[in-house]
Formats: sequence, structure tokens, C-alpha cells
Amino acid sequence: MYALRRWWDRNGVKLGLISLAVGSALLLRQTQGALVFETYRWLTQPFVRDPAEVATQAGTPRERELEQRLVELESQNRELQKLLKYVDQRSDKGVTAPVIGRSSDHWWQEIILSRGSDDGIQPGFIVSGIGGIVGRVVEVTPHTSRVLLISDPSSKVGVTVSRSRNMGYIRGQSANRVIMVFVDKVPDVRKGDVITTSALSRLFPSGLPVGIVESISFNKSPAPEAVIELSAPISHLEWVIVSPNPKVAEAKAAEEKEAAQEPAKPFLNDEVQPEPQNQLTEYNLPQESIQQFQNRPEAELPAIAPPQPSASPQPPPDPEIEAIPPVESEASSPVTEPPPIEELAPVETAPVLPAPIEAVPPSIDTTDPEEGSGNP
Amino acid sequence: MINNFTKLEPRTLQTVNWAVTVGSVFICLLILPMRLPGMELLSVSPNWLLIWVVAWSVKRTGFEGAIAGLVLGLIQDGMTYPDPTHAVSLAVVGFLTARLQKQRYIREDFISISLIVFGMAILAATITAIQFSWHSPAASTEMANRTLGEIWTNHQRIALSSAILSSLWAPAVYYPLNRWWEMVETVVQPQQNKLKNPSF
Repeated sequence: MYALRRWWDRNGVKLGLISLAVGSALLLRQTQGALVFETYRWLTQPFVRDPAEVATQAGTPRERELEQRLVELESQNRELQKLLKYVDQRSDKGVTAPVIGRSSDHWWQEIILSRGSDDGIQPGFIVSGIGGIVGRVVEVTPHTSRVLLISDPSSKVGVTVSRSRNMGYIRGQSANRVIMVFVDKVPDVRKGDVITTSALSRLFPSGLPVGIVESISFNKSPAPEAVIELSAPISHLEWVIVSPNPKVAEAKAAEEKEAAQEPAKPFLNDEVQPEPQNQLTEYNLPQESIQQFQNRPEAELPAIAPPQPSASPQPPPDPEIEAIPPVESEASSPVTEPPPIEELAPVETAPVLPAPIEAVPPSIDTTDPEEGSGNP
Repeated sequence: MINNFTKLEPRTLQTVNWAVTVGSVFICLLILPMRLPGMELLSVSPNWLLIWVVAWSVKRTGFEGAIAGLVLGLIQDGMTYPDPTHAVSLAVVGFLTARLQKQRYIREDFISISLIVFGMAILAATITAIQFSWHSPAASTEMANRTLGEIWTNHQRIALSSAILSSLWAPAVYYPLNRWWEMVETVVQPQQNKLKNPSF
């Protein structure tokens, strides 16, 4: 007992100090260093320049002309979209935020902004600079937010070549370059092509500019790769625009919906589902013919690829038919006998994903001639 | 100014000492996201927390060094990503620096501190790279995207630039802190000895 008391007398204060230090460190860790970032923001506040000052600096006559043309084209686009009754979920609301710091670590590519949850910023918001997207918000404190850049090796973004709609994803290379990995074995891509975020990206809305193809290597082993030069000056950003992310809100809503319904659903299904449904209504396929198609005996299965004379009187080509069963099979699986569906599944799961991609080109075809005719 | 402090009561001086120590850590934390001219090489900045841990551990026991590394590592986890933790590398650095027995083998000056920081920065980067490679095939979504090749190419760049920069900036942290701790020791130690062996 005496020894314990003596030990306590000697080391009690030390022990208290150690636990205090570890405790406060854990607290700082739990609050994501909010105290440090808030103090940092308060200290750097006097050195942040006015956005108007920066805006007036960047503007050669050529740039101003292009900006004016962009405004003109945007308004034209809006009119045309109104005529087409196109619904745009994207809102143009954005917060301009000064960049006050960089990552506190060497392994992660981040920036720190001087706007936070008090200005309505939430994790998942998109951050773009002059030229294109920069990253997305990962942490917020009342007055600061931390942004993971797209040049970070850990951020993987689904992108597409805006000319040919070839899909792929980009991987950061911790500099102003990123690597794009294609889905296709022989992608239609050239040096100088513009890369934008794709519709299949789950973190970013589609159509945001990312960068320009710098070089391509077709003989990379799993899939061809291209080096993309980011169009936003990632290494010397001063001001960025933080805008709400419709994808995150959608994902949240979908999650809640899923939680309300049964949990088991295949990956990407909530995004792909609307397409087959549309096609189904578009082609007005009679329900009986679809069920007939599914209930065919196994012997007829090899005849799926060539046009089948016996079971399918309907005119539409294969992709549309193939896109239907996932929706249909869920509903009718208890009724129909299992073997045909199981046999169908491996054949069809592969084409289901490309279906939305294939659905895109018609819209491209309509835009391309316009560009062609506009140039001369 | 230092003379004013020497006149303080030992208990008050201890409190001021802790305030200075915590304040210096806080300053290091504030410099972390900053990129001033001369503080960046290949977009890597000095590892301020590592410099602080080395400065703290040089004249202390291995246990104290490890605890300091653990605390600062946890704070840095909060400021970036906790996965993989920074506490491991900094705790190892603190422990090893204390066990170097610098007084016995190396002369005390800035050069030797810079040398220790250089070595420790490379060690810390290597430990982090090992942590990343250990995790890379695992399920953790954010880290799974790093391939082994990328991790070790990054490691070369980070280890070398952070070692060079940290060793150059080390005296800026070490010198004032060391002066202060030496002063506190010279004031507190005799008084503590007096308390331990009171001459009646």
C-alpha cells in the first residue's frame, strides 16, 4: 500500500498530464481538428483577397468575348431545354470560397476553404475552380471546409470523352495530371479530346468539365489508359465555387427509399432502372409477349442471339428485349419456373449496363452536325 | 525577459512551461496547412509535427517521446484522415529519438538535430507507406484505390522532400523550444533538489 502511495506521489501528476494530453488529442480528433481550422481561418482572414479583385485581373479581351458567347449560348440552351420540356435538377446556386490552406499531410491532396456549414456547405458538395471541377467537400466546420481534390490517388471519378461518349474513370496522380482508365478495349479517343464527368458517376453530376487528353497508351494491360491534363489549375487555386450536389441528395433519397423497402438490390440498379422502364413504355410491348419470351423452354435459348421466328413476333431489336427482364424477373420470379431466368441472367446482366450508354448517342448525333455546321 | 521567468515560483513556472509547450504544438498545427514560399518542395511541406516530436524527445525518456508522438499523431489524424493513423509513425519516431542517447554519441548542435530529423522523416514516411500497402487490398474504400506501385513512387517523393525540408526547418522549432526547456530545468531542478533534501 505504501509503495503504491509513493508511486502515486511520484507519478500522479505525470499520469494526469498524460491522460489530459491524450484526452484532448482524442477530442481534437473526434471534432476533425475544428478548433485548429477555425483558429487558422481567423488568422488568415486578413490576407484573403477580394474575389472581385481576382475576377477583374483574369480577363483578357479574348476571354471576355468567350464568356459573353458562353452566356449567349447558355441562355439559348435554356430556351431549347424549355421547349423540349427537359428537366434540369441542377441548380446554379454556388458559394464562392477562398482557398486558405492545403493538406496537413503529404499523402492526401486536399485544400481548405474559408467557408463552412454556416454558409450552407455540406459534405459531398462539388467544388469547381476556373476551368473545371476540382474536388468535393469531405468535412465541414462552421467556417471552414476540407476538400478532397480529384488529383488525389484515392478519388475515383466516372468520366466520359465528350466527343465519342466513351466511358472510363480517372485516378489521381498527385499533380496536375490524372490517369483515365477506359471501359472499352478500343476507345474512340484522340489527343485534345475534352473529358467530362459521366452520367454513371455516383459522386458528381454529369457533364462537368474535367480536362483534356494529353496522351494515350492503348497497350496498357487491363484496359487502355490516357493521361488527362486537368483544366482547373489545381496547384495554385485561389478561389473556388462550392455548389450543391444533386447526386448526393438523390443517393440519400434512394437510400431512404431502399431502407423502407426490402434491402436486397443489385448495385447501380436504382440508377439504371428508369431506362428500361422508359423503353418498355416507349415500344409499348404487350405484357404477354414479354412473359412468353421469359417462359420459353431451355431448348430455345441458343436462339436468342439470331432473330427468333417462333416466340417473338415483336419488332424491336435485342437490346431492348434484354433490358426488360431484370425489371420483369423480380416481379414474376415466383410465378415462372426458375431455370430459364437463371439461364438468361448471365447472358443479360452484361448488356444491361451498357444500355444507358447506347441510349446516349442519338442525342450526340443531333449535337454533332450542329457543331460541324457551326464551324465553317 | 528570461530573467523575469527565473524569479517565478516553481509551480507558476511549471504552469507557464506547460502553456508554452502546448502553445508551441498549436503553432505547429497551425503551420501545417500553410504553404509559404520556401516551405514547399515538389508540393510537399516540412513535417512540423515530426520536428516538434524530435525536439521534445531528444532529452527525454523513450516513454515520454512515444506519448508525445501518439498525442500529435492523433491530432493530425483529426486534421486529415485517420486511416492509416499518423500516431504509429510519430510514436516510433519519438521513442527512437529518445533512445538515440544523443548526449553520449553526438555533439549537441543544430547539425545533429537536422541529421536526426532527416533520418526520422524518412523513417516516418516509410512507416506510413507500409501502413498504406498493408491496407491497400483491404475493403476500406478510400485506400483501396491506391496501388502498391503508386504508394511506393509517392513514398520516394514524399520521403526525400519532407526529409530535406524538415531538416532545414528543424532549428526554427528546436532552438527556441530547447532554450526554454533548458531554462526551466535550470530553475526548477535546484529547487526540486532542495525540496527533496531539505537541510534542517
